[in-house]
Amino acid sequence: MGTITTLDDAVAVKIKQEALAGLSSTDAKSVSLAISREVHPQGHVFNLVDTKMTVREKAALVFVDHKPGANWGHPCSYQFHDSATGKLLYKEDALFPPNLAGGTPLSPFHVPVASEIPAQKATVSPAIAEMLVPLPPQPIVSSAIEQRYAILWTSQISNRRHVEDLEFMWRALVNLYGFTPANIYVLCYNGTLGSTDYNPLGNWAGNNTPYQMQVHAAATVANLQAVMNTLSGKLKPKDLLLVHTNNHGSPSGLCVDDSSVITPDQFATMVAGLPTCRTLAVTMEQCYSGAFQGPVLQKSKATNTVFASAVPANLESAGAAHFDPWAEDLIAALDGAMPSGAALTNKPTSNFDGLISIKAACDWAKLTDTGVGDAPQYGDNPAGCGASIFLGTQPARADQTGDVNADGCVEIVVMSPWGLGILEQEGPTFACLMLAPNGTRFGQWLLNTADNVIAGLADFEGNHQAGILMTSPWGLGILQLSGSTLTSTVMVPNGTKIGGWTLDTTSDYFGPLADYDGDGRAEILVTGPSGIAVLKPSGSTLTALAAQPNGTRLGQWLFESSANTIGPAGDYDGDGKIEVLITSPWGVGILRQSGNTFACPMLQPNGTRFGGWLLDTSNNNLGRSADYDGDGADEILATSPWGIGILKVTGSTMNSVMLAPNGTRFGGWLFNSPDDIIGPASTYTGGKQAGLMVSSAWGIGVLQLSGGTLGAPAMQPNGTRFGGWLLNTADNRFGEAASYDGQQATGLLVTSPWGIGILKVAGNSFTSSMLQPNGTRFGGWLLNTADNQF
Amino acid sequence: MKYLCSRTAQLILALTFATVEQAGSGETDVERMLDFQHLEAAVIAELTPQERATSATYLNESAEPAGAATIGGHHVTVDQPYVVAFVDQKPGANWMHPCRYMLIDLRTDHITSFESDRPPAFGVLPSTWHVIARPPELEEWRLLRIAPG
Repeated sequence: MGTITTLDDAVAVKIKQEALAGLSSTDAKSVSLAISREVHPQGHVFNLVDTKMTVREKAALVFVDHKPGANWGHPCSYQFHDSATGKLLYKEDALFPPNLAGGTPLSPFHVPVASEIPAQKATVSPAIAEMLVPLPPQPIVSSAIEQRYAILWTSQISNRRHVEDLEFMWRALVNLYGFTPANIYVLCYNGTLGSTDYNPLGNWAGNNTPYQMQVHAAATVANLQAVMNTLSGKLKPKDLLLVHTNNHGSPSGLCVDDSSVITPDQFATMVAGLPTCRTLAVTMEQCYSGAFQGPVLQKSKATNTVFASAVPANLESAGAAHFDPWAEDLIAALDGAMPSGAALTNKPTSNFDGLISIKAACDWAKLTDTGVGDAPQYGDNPAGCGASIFLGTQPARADQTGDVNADGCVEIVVMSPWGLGILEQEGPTFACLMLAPNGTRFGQWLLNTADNVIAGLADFEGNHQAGILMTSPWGLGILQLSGSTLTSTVMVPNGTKIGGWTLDTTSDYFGPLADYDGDGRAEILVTGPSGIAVLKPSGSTLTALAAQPNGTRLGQWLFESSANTIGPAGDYDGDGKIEVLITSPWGVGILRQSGNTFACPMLQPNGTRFGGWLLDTSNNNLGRSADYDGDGADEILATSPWGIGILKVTGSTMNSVMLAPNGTRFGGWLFNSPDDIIGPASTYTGGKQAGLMVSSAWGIGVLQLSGGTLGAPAMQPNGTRFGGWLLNTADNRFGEAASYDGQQATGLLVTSPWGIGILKVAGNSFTSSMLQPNGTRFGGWLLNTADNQF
Repeated sequence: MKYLCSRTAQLILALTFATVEQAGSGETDVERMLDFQHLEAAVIAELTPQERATSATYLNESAEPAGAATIGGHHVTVDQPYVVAFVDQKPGANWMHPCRYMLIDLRTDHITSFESDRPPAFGVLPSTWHVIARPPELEEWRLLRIAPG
């Protein structure tokens, strides 16, 4: 038998072309293709677990995965090509890949694409409903951001439908929201996957697949208390806990078995024993479950508490042959799909990123619940907070891009479980300006990506060089590039009193970073349980430009950190100084740092009309601030279940520069707020006007203000190749838009399971100014989009 | 409104009369079956118009001995052998919800009724239970599961 040799590059191209040409339109939607750069000699053996495949003649290999993402032993095939001509020699079917135990490196060159690529964006069909589901959250490298926990309860007298609901919730939490299974405590029946009326349960009724959830323990009071005790030792101020009960109830409480209940007061007392966390969400499906609302909202110590139930305290909740109607609808709203995977009709209101808040999910479930006798209830504390609570990581992770070496190009700070690196675009690839493993000391800062959080990049020193704001359970640091490493220029431990502010990175939220005092250097806006402050680097520490406690009137704005959402920052009035947007269940305002406090040059309550735009912060998404009209002042993008608008600060109020309802065509782009995910605003086409990146199950586009409407200077459907990049919004994750190459027209960072790229507008389409597959080494940095956090 | 009698011709009862006093010697199985038919009719006659329109009614074709028992969460003491009927007034809803029990005195046919909020058992009822009345349009899933006989 001969030896393995390397496949010629030119022949590899021919092989890929032949393999792609051989794909049917059906296969193109479902299979992935990968090529091995090794030429295998006759007689080479692939060990495939319980079988062997022997290469019949010297050949190059294309591996066809017929069920990407599924666990192995699933259908796949091996296509052997002539290593000189690229022609297909023969195929063999198998159940395992050639690299299951390592070896035989494969380079993917085709991933499944969307069905039916229409010339114009069409109404989304249920067939591609799965693409409407928000992408799973990016890999979270640092657990310091937050942990998310859940308790799922169904009693010892539960029916099959109750267990089905729990499974539905479990799948949504794990498969969509990225909850760690070990953080989900399933208290089910007698400790097994069973029920009183069907035992064994069989496959899950949603899609007829085996149950995935793992039962923690039997549904007993003692076990529930034990879980609460466990969480008492784990919950941190930024964490989220979801409790979902789904079974029978009595007027006296939540059924445990056929002779005992947990009363509302008992449950609330359990909840009161938990430490302060960011969010407690309790959703209850059982009869009379509304009786728990008052005690839970009253006794919860969480910063934000949300309660929802299928019925008030005096009604029975409806069941069904499978799933309970209200619970099914609630979970479907959170999941973005019915248990079968079918698309939702009249989708719930989502935020810019396509995520559904708990409030929006509850509203949708209330509207769609078909359970006879159901009367869904909802409450939150502070009032309105549920509209800002998402089961995904919150708040969204900070921008990790900035010009760290003052060369006029933006670089990317990347973290992985291994360490940290800074990547700079260099033609079609990245150069690595620095990289360091965990354990490295940057001056006094000890790098540990398991608990370090990048809170943003900004020019803190006024020298056009962006520093990295980093937090950890220890405190806060600012890191600056220094040669091929980083050094810490500011180090502040928790507990440090900074003017009127006491630093506590475990409960403080940092950002936006901006030049609030107009001195050419960025400051750090911080909010926490006690109030709001602007912190300014001063030597190796920080000083407080402004610090005000909750309950202070900032101008006319009554600040309350638990009920206010702050950001983004922008120059909204065009005076050259930075303001910051602030919203609450009451309305919207603009804050400007003024001495040791803030002025509020604009504030308006809900119900105000900004031109044609009706303000309602319970369902308006406000943000993506940018100079959309090129006049030197930033405007604010607004979306709602009705449509889209661009709002401009005008004195003490705002006006709408444009607004349009869903169903409006912007050039070729058919806008529909429930379906469209709003990406970054940036100068994609160069010039002074910012454009807005949008994506959907159809493809991507850039929308740009044109008179009183929007145009679409660039838009393309899934399946389009931008240079080497194959667009597929089902698995393409879009990052920051920035001048990675130093040009005025910005590029959009994109990653996928295949690799990374930067897309730039080119005519009415896009091109990839760089793209590299996973496995590429950028200097020393090994690209792996599965665990690299950009 | 019409309602269904679910008793079928091939119903075969396995009655337990371990401690039930026979009404008289020489009573045949057929006569015992007729007794249950008679009881079924008596139960159905007791249903309110609302119950006939919306409820599912079950009869446990097994005689219970006199004495103390817990039925539907209630502790009862019955001084004669009896049979239990159960009226689910909100079939398909999660428990606990309104329902009614009837205890039928086997000797006198006297029916004692009381309200409850829970079924005879959570999950699958023993095979001696049978559906004896239901609205024609009531979906199957709303009925309590009964073990095969």
